[in-house]
Formats: sequence, structure tokens, C-alpha cells
Amino acid sequence: MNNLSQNISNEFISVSGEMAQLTREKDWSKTPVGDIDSWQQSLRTLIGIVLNSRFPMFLFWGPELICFYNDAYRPSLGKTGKHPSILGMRAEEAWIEIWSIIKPLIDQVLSGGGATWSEDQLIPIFRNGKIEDVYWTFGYSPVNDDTRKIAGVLVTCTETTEKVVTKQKLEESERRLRSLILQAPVSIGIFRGKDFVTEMANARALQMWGRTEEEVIDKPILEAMPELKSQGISEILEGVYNTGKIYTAAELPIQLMRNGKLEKAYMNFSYEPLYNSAGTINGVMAVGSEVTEQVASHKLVEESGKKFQLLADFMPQHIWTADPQGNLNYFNQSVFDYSGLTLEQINKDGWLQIVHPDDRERNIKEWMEAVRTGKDFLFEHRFRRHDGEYRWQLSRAIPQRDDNGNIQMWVGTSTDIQEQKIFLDELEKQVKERTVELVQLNESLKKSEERYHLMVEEVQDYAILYLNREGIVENWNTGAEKIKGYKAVEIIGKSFSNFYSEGDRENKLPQKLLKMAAEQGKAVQQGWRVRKDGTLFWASVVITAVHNEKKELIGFSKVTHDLTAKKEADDALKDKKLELEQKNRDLEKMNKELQSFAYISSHDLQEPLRKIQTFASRITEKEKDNLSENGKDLFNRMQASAERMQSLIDDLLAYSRTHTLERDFQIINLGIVLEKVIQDLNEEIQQKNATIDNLGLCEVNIIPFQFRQLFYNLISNSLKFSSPERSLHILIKSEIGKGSKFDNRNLQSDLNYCHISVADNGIGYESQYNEKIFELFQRLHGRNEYRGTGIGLAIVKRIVENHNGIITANGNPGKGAAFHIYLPAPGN
Amino acid sequence: MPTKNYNILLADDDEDDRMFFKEALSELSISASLDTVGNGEELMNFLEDNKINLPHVLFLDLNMPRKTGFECLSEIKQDVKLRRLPVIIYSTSLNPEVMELLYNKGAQHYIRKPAEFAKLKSVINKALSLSGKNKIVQPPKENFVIQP
Repeated sequence: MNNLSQNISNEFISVSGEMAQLTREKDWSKTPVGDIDSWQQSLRTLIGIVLNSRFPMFLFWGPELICFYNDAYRPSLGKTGKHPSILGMRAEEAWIEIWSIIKPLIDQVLSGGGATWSEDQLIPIFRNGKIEDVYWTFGYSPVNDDTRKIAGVLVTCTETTEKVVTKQKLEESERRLRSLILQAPVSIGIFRGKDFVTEMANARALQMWGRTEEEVIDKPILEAMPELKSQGISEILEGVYNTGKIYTAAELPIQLMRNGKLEKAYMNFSYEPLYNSAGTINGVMAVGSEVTEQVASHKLVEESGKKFQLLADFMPQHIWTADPQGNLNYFNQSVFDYSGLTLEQINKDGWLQIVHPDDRERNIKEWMEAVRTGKDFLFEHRFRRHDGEYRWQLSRAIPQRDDNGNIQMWVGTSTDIQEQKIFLDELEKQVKERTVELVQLNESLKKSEERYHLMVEEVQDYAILYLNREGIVENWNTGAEKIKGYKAVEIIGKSFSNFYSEGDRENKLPQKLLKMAAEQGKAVQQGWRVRKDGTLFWASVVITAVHNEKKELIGFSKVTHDLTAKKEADDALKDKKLELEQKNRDLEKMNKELQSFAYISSHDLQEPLRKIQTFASRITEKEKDNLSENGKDLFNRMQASAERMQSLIDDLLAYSRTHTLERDFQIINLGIVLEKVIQDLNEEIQQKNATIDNLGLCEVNIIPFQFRQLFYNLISNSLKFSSPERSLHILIKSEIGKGSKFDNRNLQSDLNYCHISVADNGIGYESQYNEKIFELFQRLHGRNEYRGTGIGLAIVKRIVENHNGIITANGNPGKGAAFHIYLPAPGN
Repeated sequence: MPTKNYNILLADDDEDDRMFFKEALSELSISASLDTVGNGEELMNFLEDNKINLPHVLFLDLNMPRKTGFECLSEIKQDVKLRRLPVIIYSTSLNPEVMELLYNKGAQHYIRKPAEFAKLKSVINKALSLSGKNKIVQPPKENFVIQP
């Protein structure tokens, strides 16, 4: 082959492109079509058209149907597949996988059946390493050779896989949408155009509307359902259609003609605009659901809720509810009344604020536990009342469950149990105390029983025995053995009458004593009893009846004490007592005699003496001149003796009167007593030119007339023994103080005393006579120097002793004398 | 000197004392008449007989046979017709306790019979001037005893 001839002959494939190049370069001599140079003109022309065409083309040529294709066809073969191997290949080999599909088409064309046309035909081919579903729109056309005979098939095709798949997806989605709408659990209707012709209505919508499909489809909805016209539905539809704004309604009441009558129904629905592909509104979709039943049940619930609240608010208890999580969400009026809080206050700071701080932690714990487990809540806690008082409450809450057993809410009550609680607490406390007491009592009883047994066993001074109801000895202690001489084995089982003398037994004393004990609980007796050896002892016996728990007599305890020694001592004492009584009577008699002596001396003795004096005074007056000087002297001496006798009698009387049993004690100021005495002695005081001073005279508990006597005697003494060298001064003082304060050993140191002192600056006396001067008839001076009976100070001493006091004297010759009196102070 | 005409009654069982009283009264320059009775019974009979014309004053001894002065005083003070009679106790003894009782019973004064005749006179004089005629208002206790 020369280049030129090649160039000329191969002009038809000189076009650019991959397939043109491949076709040019292919060694066709090895194929049935033979070398390019040998190709018929018609084939050359055909190839030229194919390779030049921008439309996908494929050519089957010759009896072997050799394959040719162009660049436009090339993508349909994919990346790894038949390209470029099928170029020049026989069709049967090249399209083995679809040969059964395309062979009839080819055969039809070859046999003069004309061209074929297939649209969107599925013809899967091998490409991209696998068999792929590929859709084609193609035509098979016959092509002739130079002899005008059909020599091949020209395939013009375009792959429509993409278009077909898109269409299929669209159809699928539409189908799905439709079925979705039809099966939707809500009612859906689609209305087209401004007349709102019903395009579609699902079963639910039809059911809701009370219409059949035939009654609504392809009809304006307001004509199909004329009852809607007057209910504002057309305005709503038009509003959505014109504005594009979605309209939604909840629980909208609508009257619908259903089942041959107008029914009121409640609807939740929305009207949405539908747009065409141009973005203009061409319809409205209505989506809705009937909620008539729910509304009715809502209303029921609302109504029953109102009833519940009314009821709850009337209840005196606190009532509350909580959600399943335990959050309290309702309180009845009682809660507000009690706490003084408003719902807002409770919501703000929580209901726990009402609970006593000490109860809160446990309250939360218990409540959360109940909420967690769903078990009933039962709890006692204190709630703060509006006045701040905390009162005990018993709270209960019970979960309310739905049909599936899920908790829907909690209903709780709280009841005021303050009174019961206090009562219970008190009861509990008392029971506790009582229990403790009982335990203690029990223990002490046990101990005392043990002690009792030991004691009974060990007691030696008392015979303690137990007798049965018939008086048979059943128990015997050491004391019984010692007192009565029997050993336990010798006497147990025998009658206790063995201890009685024959005489007592004859008199049935043992039986009488048992009877008395049985009837009165106790029999007490003293008497002679007989020991085992026959000797007698004086016994003090106590027989006590013993009862069982049913108060039935079961026996006796018998305690016997040997009082023989005591009896002897008592008898001796009795004798002594008699003796004493006799002595007492003697003394009383003597006392009476003494008293009558006092009387005699006061009256009978005084009277003759007084008369002697009176007669003497008459003689002195009338017969004075008839007497000699000696006679006068003797007469005067007689008179003096009589006077002395009189003062003796007076003093003795005074002394004896201090014996008096009269104890008319008074608390009186010593100053008052002293004042009277100074009055009585006024004449003598003036005569002696004496001064009497007192310093702080205190209150004392005394027999006033005796103290008057005391002061009288002491002051008289001072007046009598005044010093001729100086005028008399008497100082009287008193003070109250503890015994320890004063210089006298005979005082009790911790008692209060009133110390009264009477001191003068008279002639005094030797201190050796400090005690002697208080003795009866004691005188320190001759009668001629100082008159006196020697009784005055004895009286003073006796008076002080009558007052449980102490008197001392302190003489200082030539200086004076002092008397110290100590009386128990009032209030000791 | 008092010159009143006194009707005086003296009850005393002792004849000597009655004599001393009479002599003492006569030596006083007082216009007085004196009746005497020897014991309590006589006294009460005398008063019973002279109820319309009671003496102005009674000097009453305590220790008398048959009825003591104490008993007489009680009877006199319990009798509505006699109780206005001033009673002056006239006794040998001076017992404070007895004195207290007599004062409480309503006696007017108390005289302890003095041993000296001169004192007797003075004490009678004082008693008459103190008691006056039918003077029954009791003096204070401290003036009960008339000192000679």
C-alpha cells in the first residue's frame, strides 16, 4: 500500500477523534470486512457519517455484523468494558450478554422488516467492571451496500438511564406520598384551584366529614359540604389561598352533617398552601384530626377537677398532689389557711419550708423513696402553723396508676395529730418510766427476797416459822431452834400448839390466835410459852395470815421473840415506877405543905407581928412619958426586932414566890422594867444623891415582875452599900452577842446571849466572896453597919436561873461591885 | 381637910384590926360613920339589908371565915345593885398575883395594913380622899395600891 493511495482511500476516516483514530489504525485485514482499501463505497460513506456524527451511533456491518461506533457512543460502554475491544468484533461476540434481546431486532431490520424504535428500553450491559442496568432510547435502521442490498444495521441511540431512574424515583415518591396520605392517621384533603375542588381525601378525612369519596372527589368542597359555608371555613380557605399563610386551629368546634344529622365536632387542623412548580399557589392542603372525644373528656376532667378542688378545699385535712416525679403541684385551701402562705410563696421557696427543720432531711428521704419505689408514703412530721407553732402531722400519699400500672400522680393528705401525738408521747413516756420503775422494783424485790431468805435463816433473836392453815410447822429458823429448843427435824410437821402451856391448850389459845389472824390478818399476843425442855419463856408473838394471789388463806407466818429478860426488867421497872410515883406523891405533899407554909408566913405569921408593931407604936405614942429611959431603949429594940422579923418574912415570901410555876414570859425592853424600879426607889435614890445611867438596854424574853424584883434588889443593894466618900453612880448596860464573845466559860459559844451588867462605885467587897454572896442568908457585914436579911441576892440568882441565865459578881473592895447577867437572847 | 360625911363599912374578922381602924378614923378630922361586920356572910347580909342606902365605901379584908373577901368582891361586882359600891381591899399580905386578880375583879384600891399606927391613919385618910363617894371608876393599875 502506498501512502498516497492510502491517504486518498482513507479520507472518510481522516476526521479527528479517538474512534476515528482507532478505526484508522485498526488492522482490518484480519477481520471479515477486510482491509480498509477493499471496503465498499457505501461502507466508507457510512463510517464517515458515523465517525462524524455527534449523536451516538453504532453500526453492525456485513453478514458477521461487525461492530463500529463513534465517540458519542463511547461513554455508554463505561470505563472498563467492551471499549475498545469490540471495534471490528462480531456482534454476537461483542454483545453476548444481550444478544437474545437485540438479535430479534437486528434480524427484523435485516430481513427488511423496517426500522425499529424503542424508548427507555432497559438493556443491561457490561461496563465499569459489572453488568449495569442501562436504559436506552434507540432505533435500528437498515443500511445498504453498494448493491443496494441491506448489508447492516445502523443503531442510533441515546442512553436514558439517568432520565428513567429520575422518573422512576419521582413516581415512587408520588406513590409513596399518596399511600402516605391515604394511610395517614390524620385526615388529609387536598383542594385545587380557587374553587377548592377536592383532589384527594383520605379515609380519615371522609370519615370525619361523614361523606363518601364519590360525594367529594372532583367537586368543590364547599359544594360537597354546604354546612361549612356558614361556619367561616370558606374564608379560612380563601385566606390561605390568597396569602399563603398557614392557618392552624386547635379544638375548633365545627358542625358537620354526619349520619343524617348535624353533629358538633371538635377539630385540630391546619390549612397549608400548595404551590405549583412555578411557585404560585394552586391549592390548599387540609390536615386535621377530630378531637371531639378528647375535648369531651377534657371537659369531663376539667369538671371533675373543679369538683375535686371544691371538695378538697372543704376538707379540714391538708390535701396535696404531686407528679410522678414527686414534685408537689397542688395544695388545698387548708394548706394555705394553716401555713398562712399563698400558693406563690409555697411555689417560690418550696413546700419544705413548712416542715420543721429537724424533720426535713428524713422527710425528703422518705418521700423520694416512696416516689422511687411507688410504695405508699406514710410519715409523721411537724408543720409550721401561721402563728409559728409547729404541730405534728400524719402525712399519707398514695400513687394513682393508669391501666398499665404507670404512676400518673400522687395524692396526699396530712392530718393534724398534735393532740394524739402529745397524748401518745406522754403515754409512751409514762409507760417507759413505769417500765423502768417496774424493772427497778423487780430487781429490788429480787434482792430483797434474797436478803429476806438470808435474814430469816440467820435471825437468832426471833423465831420465824411458817405454819400451814392447820397450824402445822412447815419451816424453822435458827432463832426458833435457839428460843424453843427444837431442831428443825424434831418439830416440822407437828402442831405449833406444842409451844403452849397445858392451860393455854385447854383454853384453845392456839386455835383462837389462828382464828384471829385469819379474820383480822394479824394476831398479836404476849404470854408464857413452853420450851422443849419444859421451861417457860415470856414470848411476844405475832401471827400473820398469808394469802395467795386469789386472796385465799394458805397459811401463817409466826414471829416469836423471847422477852423473858425484858419482862423481868419491865417488872422491875414497874416496881421502880411505883416507888417513884409514891415518892412523887410524897414530894407533892411536901410541896403543898411548903406552899401552905408560905401562906402561913404571908398571912398568919405576919398578922400577929404586925399587931405587935401596931400596939408598940400606940404605946410609943401614948405611953412614951410613962416609960423610963431604959424602958424606952428596950422598947425601941423590941420594935427593931419586930421590923427585922417583918423584912425577913417579906424576903422569904419573895424568895418562895420565885418558885412559882407561872412562866409568863414576854419579850420586853429592859428599860421599861428598870424605869418602874427607879420610880419605886426614887426616895432612896434622892436621899443618897445617886445617879443611875443606862446604855443601850435591849429586848429580852423575861418574866417581867421577876425582873422588876431583880433590878429592885440589885439597885437596893447598891444604894445600901454606897461609899460615904463619893456620890453613888450606878451604870446599867446590855448587849447581845455570841457566847464566845463573853468572858464566861459556862456560856455556849454559838448561842446568842444578852449580857446585862449592873456596876456601882460603892464600897465593894473582896473578890473571894464573888460566889458566896449569892447564897441564902449570906451577909458580909454586921447588922449594925448594914441592914439586910441575906436573901436579896439569893432571890436575884434564882430569878436569873429561872430564865436559864447565868449571873456572876465581881467585887473590888473600896471601888465597887459589878453584877453580870447572861440571858439567852430572844430568837435563839 | 375633907369634911364630907362618909358612911363607911369595914369588913374584918379581927377585932384588934377593927379597933385600930375605928381609933384611926376617929383621930382623923373626918365626919364619918363606921359600920363593921365580922365576916363575909355578915357583910353580904348587911349589904342585902341596906341596898337602898348603901355605904359610900367598903374596906374589905380578904382572909375572913365563912366567906372570903375575894368571894364577897365577886358577888358585889356581879350584883347590879351593889356593883357601884367602891371596894377598898384591906389586907395584911401583899401578893402581886393576888393583887392583879383583885384589880381585874373590879376592886378600887388596895391597902396593906401598916404596922405603924400613924401610917394606918395616913393610909385611911388617903383612901377616903381618893375614892370619894360612890366613886367606881377604877384608877390606873399603878395607882391601885395606896402607899401609907
